[in-house]
Amino acid sequence: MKRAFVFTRSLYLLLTILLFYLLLTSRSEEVRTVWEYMHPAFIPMYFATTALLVAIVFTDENPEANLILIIIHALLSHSFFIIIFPAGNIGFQQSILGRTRRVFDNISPHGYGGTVENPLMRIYNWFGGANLQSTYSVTFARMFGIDVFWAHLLLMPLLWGIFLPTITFLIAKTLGGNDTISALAALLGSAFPFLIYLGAVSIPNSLGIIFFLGTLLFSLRYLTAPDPKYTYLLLVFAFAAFLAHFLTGLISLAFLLLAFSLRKYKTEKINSPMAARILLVSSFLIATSILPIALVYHGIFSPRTTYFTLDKIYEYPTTELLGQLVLGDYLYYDPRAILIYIAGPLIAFIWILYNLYTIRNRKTSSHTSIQILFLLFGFLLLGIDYRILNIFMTNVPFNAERTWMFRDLLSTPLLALAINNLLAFGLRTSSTGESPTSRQSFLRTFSEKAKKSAKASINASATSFLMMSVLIPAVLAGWITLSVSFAYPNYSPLQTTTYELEAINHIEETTNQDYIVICDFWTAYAGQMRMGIQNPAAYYFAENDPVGAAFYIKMRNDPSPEVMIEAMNYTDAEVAYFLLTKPRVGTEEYNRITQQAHQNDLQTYSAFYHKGEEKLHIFRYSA
Amino acid sequence: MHPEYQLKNLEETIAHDRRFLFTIMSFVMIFLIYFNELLFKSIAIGAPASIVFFLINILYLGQALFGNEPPYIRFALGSLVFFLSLGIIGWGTLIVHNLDAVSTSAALFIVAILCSTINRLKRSRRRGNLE
Repeated sequence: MKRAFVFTRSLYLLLTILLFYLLLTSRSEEVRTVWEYMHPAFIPMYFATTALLVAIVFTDENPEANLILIIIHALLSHSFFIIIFPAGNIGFQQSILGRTRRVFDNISPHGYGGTVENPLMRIYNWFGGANLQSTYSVTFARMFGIDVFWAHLLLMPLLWGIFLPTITFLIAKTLGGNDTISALAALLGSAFPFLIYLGAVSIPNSLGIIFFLGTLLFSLRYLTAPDPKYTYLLLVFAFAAFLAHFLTGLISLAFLLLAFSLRKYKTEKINSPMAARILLVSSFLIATSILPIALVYHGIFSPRTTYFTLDKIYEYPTTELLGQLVLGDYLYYDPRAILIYIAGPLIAFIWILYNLYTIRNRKTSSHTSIQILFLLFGFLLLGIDYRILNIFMTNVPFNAERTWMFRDLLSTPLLALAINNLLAFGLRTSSTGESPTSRQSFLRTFSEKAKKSAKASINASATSFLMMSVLIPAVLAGWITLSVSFAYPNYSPLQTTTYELEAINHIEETTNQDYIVICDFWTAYAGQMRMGIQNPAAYYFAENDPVGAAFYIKMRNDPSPEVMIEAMNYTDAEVAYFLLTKPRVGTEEYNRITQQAHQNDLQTYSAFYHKGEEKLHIFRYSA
Repeated sequence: MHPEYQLKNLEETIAHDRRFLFTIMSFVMIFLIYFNELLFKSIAIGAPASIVFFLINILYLGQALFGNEPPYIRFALGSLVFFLSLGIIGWGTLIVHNLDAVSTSAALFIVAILCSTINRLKRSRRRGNLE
């Protein structure tokens, strides 16, 4: 048996190496989505490897080894962007790297935004502005002797790959799962498209999620264990979640309040049940209102004013309003996508209700029941907050769907526990040899079967066991593969290309003076990654800077030295560059602008080619 | 000897930290990281030094805070808390000053001292309880 496990583990590792290799062969210099040049063998092989992993998890009861295999699987699932694209997924994460680069190059003392004049804003920037994430990227870059570009891009896939399965495993164990169920929970983190996507991009929200999950783990332990260390850990993790991102911080705070009030409820419900219930309900209401109210007050620091409104109620037709209340934004999703997004949380929620129903009169299971009650309150809190943000608020600084990721995190361990119960139920109903009242879990039965194959009950359920041992890995692997295919977008703008990165490096290597670069905001992302956002020595505008956008539009309409002089005066630079990328403006527009630039006496500084075709033009002007 | 037993022995030896041997080793790794950052910027030096630094301090925290858990859970929880400490102390350093090579090394020193102290305190408290 031991040899068989060594063989399956080795086979799994071999397949994973092959999958990484296939991803590497899909790497492209000019690409839009991960699927554009994906090797055709990748997805079938991913499915087969995942099925093998599920089978290993079900059969091999070595939790350490299983957890390591699951971590490797998670690393693979979260690394599509960094392996296939030249500079990770284009967008906000690159802007965060721009801020981190400034910290790395020591041009942002006291953190990004830590030197602004307004003291209130300075404090706000210390606690926000991605400073915690920058700390990790810069520290790891310095420790490992690598450029912050790699430390930043690898940060989230590595941290998510390592910590998400680990913490989910620990949560499932805290909820009473055995090693196999807990390992299954760790693996099922890959069955949620939102979680896969968030783990693939290095943004503060993703970092905050790890600390939120830590808060959740220690909340569950705090509810049942008298050890005061869990209180401290709970508080520290909630604080770290807040430092990483205000959304994860606020949700952690709400969960913190729920945990404190539930523990109070647990101790006081015997002496004064009514007072305990009132305390619990009022705490739940306060916890639910933390996020919406904090968003309203967030307006003090942000130009974006979020406020409560009933406008949407009047705008929506009744059917759409009801649809929004029940389904939220799923209303506009493709039915297959709804199934993939909603299946896990729905099963988890039903399992919670079923569990609370079955243990309602059992006095011995108070530990689990208080934890399940906590998770139910968590689910309800997130559901209510999502609907408040979506229907009763306007100008929310993020998509209300972001609350779904918290819901998915709560669902993951519960889903594993639910699958365990479902399988146990399936086995009971299909097996004639087993008592219908048996509460033994399928997975435990399964492992005992492996050890005690002489038992009569095994013979009775052998057929169903064989069916399920093939069927379950196939179904779960199919689910995870589908989730991965939904997680990575099918439509995207052109990602940062290698020739854009080369152009930016070329400018930096050949310029000794301070310079400013006028370019579209997609190319600006690439510039920020290499030189830092608004670096006075090599100035790239922030992607949302209206001044930068205005310069670019002026240059597109009339590429002339006057605009470049104006840009140089803006930052006291001695040189100005104008970057024009053909795939971003279209061939016709590209030819028109380059021709007009030459007519206006702007000289070509350099041109970059990809597969023999000119793709990028740099114009230079110096005083 | 069984590999699991060997690992457990190693963990015990590190956590015991006789004559501050492993705390000093942790400091040496920080010096190595610092000089690598200044002179070589090589992953071949940085990666092993960082991994040794991580392992020593994760084992300290794991043993001190989660001594009753099974070894792999102890390690997992230890790494989680270590990662958190590294972030918060690094963030504090960034806000107070910045994160240049010297400040980063200072932050690592604080983390190493913190982990070693927690380990020492917990061990002496445990020993006191036993006596």
